[in-house]
Amino acid sequence: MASKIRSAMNGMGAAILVCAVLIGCNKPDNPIASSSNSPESASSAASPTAGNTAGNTEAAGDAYQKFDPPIVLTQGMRASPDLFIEGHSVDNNAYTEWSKNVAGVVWKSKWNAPDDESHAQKLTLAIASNDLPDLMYAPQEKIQQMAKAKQIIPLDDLLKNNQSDIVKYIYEEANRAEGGNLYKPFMYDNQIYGIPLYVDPVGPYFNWFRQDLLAELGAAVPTTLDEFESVLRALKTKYPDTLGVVTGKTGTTPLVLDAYGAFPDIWQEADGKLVYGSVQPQVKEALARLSEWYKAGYIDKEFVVSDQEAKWAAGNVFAYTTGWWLNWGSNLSLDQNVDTAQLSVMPYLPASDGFIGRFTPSGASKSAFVISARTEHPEAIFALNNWQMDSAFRNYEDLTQKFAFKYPPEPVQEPINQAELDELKGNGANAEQLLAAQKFNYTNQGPDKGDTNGFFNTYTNHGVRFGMRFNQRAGELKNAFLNGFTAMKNGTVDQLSPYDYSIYKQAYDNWGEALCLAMLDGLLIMDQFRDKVVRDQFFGAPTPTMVTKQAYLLKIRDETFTKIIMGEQPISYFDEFVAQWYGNGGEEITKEVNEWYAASK
Amino acid sequence: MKQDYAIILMPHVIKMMVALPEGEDGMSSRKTARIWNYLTLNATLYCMLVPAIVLVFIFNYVPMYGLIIAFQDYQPTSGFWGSRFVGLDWFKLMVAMPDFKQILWNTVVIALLKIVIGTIVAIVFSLLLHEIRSKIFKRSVQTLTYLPYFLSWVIIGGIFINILSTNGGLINNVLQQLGFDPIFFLGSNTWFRPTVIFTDIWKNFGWNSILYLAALAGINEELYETAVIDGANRWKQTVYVTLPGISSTIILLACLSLGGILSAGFEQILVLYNPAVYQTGDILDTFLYRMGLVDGQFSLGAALGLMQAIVGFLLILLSYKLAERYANYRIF
Repeated sequence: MASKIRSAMNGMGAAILVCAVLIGCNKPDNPIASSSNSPESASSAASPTAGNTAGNTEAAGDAYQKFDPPIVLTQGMRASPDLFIEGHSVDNNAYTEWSKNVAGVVWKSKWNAPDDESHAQKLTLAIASNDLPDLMYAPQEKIQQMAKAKQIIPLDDLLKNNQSDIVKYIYEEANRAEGGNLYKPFMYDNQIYGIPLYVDPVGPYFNWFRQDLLAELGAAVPTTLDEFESVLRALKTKYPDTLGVVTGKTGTTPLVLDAYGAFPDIWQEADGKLVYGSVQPQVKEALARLSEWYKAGYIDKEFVVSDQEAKWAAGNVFAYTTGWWLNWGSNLSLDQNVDTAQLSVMPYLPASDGFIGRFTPSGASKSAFVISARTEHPEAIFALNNWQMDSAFRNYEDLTQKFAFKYPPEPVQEPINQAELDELKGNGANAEQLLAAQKFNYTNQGPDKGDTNGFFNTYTNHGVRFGMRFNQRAGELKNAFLNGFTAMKNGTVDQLSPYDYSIYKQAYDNWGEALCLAMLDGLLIMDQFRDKVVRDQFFGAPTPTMVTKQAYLLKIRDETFTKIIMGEQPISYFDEFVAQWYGNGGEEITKEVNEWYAASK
Repeated sequence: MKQDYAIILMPHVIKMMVALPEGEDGMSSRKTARIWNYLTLNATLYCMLVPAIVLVFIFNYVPMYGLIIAFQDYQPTSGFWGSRFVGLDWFKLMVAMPDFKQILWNTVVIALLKIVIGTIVAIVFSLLLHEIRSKIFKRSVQTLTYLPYFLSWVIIGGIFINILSTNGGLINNVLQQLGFDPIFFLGSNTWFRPTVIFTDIWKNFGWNSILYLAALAGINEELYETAVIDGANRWKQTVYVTLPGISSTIILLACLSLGGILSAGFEQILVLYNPAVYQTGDILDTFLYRMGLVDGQFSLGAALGLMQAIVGFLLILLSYKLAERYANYRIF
């Protein structure tokens, strides 16, 4: 009897186990499952199509359409959660409120990735499962993929017909600044598929260095590469543990490469054709110099694995050639870690006899906004862009004289709730959250009313990319910095224009005076070398041979550079590398690139 | 992990379902009755196997149809049936890569050494630990040694980069004290592979030894007593009693690990490698990873995965056949 009960219990227990496992074996973290069963994919189809054309308060084709009844647009967002203040989120904040009330567009995020890497993954998954939001931000290669697969729509007609005059003007301005190449990387089959986020190129990179160490050595600011090397020599004797300059993972630094006119990552023009930078003779000279420096200990012996940026922030490196944005990161840490540290910027250094160039990355990023082929209302996205740009640029005198703005210009105001902001700052709110929490007192005509958050005033600076946006005008940010810091030096800050003042203030509050002065040095030097610009001349999609061979070619290039610099191979190894590069696909790639070049002229 | 659990149990499932008592006269009705008898008697055991079977079926067998993209130029919008068929093109492409031989060699060497040395280390460690009397000491050592298994390579890689540094790293400090020159382990082609193998074994041996310890506990005490009576010392006891006792576990685990011969530890290599050691350290997975950065290479990834799986499968079959013949080891 007992054994019968026991075996019955056993049976029941086993059955329960089985059920539990089968229920629990549904993988809740399967990203495809969770993102594709969201109701959003049905919502844009479910938005009332019948009511739209009848319900619009403005005529169709008007640049500032309001949708009544409201429509829903989905977007793949990339916003870190700590950008939002309490009570706000990606789908509920000042922007989405405005968008719903004023433009009749309800924004829903199809996904929200906290950083670039997870955003890239979510995008790949969305492409693979063919479940795209209406608006996304994607890198160039993915755009080519999606255009080929007809997952996104061409934007030429929308650009021609749905942009307000102001927006058209600003886009053309940017296009001119890019030498007519603003849309080129995002074209497929001669149609434009993506609109890049345009961020003004303040500068390619600066030669940051430690002014205080230089002063200790009693040396003058170097103006050639040889002078720089003698400074490093003196530094080595005085501080044997301090490194000379930060390098990348292959041991190179633009400081030395530029000096010889070597640009390994880009396609340069020579005799009407394009040639690849990595296999040019100038690279050989630069590598020879770098290997000498490696032997002498000026560059990190473990550059392949070490975290040199951390060493810079700890004060153990003399020079670091990188972007102006270092002020937002390691320079700030350096300032805090080493009391005596004083930063300045060197001019671009020529090698003893010669040519120097400066590679300017384009202001348009290599990613762009794209619109899904399944969108019901692509014009809504452009309409919103018109509204946003209207408000963002209404303070520019040259524009207000040319165009009729929807919102009147108003001088930039200080927030009315400064006490609250100070309290938030004291509680640890970051710069972005403070921006979002600001309240202003603009007139009723503007979108920043009474006690609402000053969304549009902070629009160009907010870290969250709502809708399609075009960040700045060409030269805008750089001039703001230049004017702002010069005024700071001369004590004429109160004479700055409102935009310049707001940019200057933000920098000053976050960096402090010393770093602002260092930045000013850099900007002035950059202006000096303005005509030595070298740009990448290839912006097509990866060619067929690139798709198959590029990984291998990059691998042998990195290997070669590393081995030569570390001294494991003599400098003559470079010639072997060049032969290998051409023999293993480099020749075909060069041919294909030049075909593109000839066709695109 | 779920797959390992399922794979380990599969042979036993089949064994139980297949090893039925034969009817003496082979008449079918008798056989049916016996089968039914057997099933109902062991009903609970079969129920316990159902989750494993279902899991393996749903997640391992059903998705196999997706392998078709290894033979296509897969585009997500065209789907499985609309993408262009390209046959063996992707495989040909992979093999035609100039450094393919080198990469394949790296992969096999690193994986093989990891398996062989790892198994030996795990066995030796569990033998030693088995001898410890103090339960507390045994337990704490076990816990400490299998902790690193749970940490991701991103963390452990960072730690090792620090320890192995020529500039203040622990190992090189010791070397220099002893009068040797500092060695740049992660940047030298002679030292990279040993470093990779050693750190991987260090991370995993504690976990791997768990199974061996369990097997050791299952050896009959009487066998030891008999051996002592026959005059065997500790060493002879180990060789003639202990090792044969756990031999089936060893062979099973070795066979299974051989299935992973072409995946030599992607995460670890990605964290530790750098251009200076591509020559000895680049494996199939890191090579594919870099290729995939240029374009969304779904098909190439599937082709590589398929190749790894086929080779692994063949190796398991081969090693099982060898074990069957020479070590009398049987699953079926």
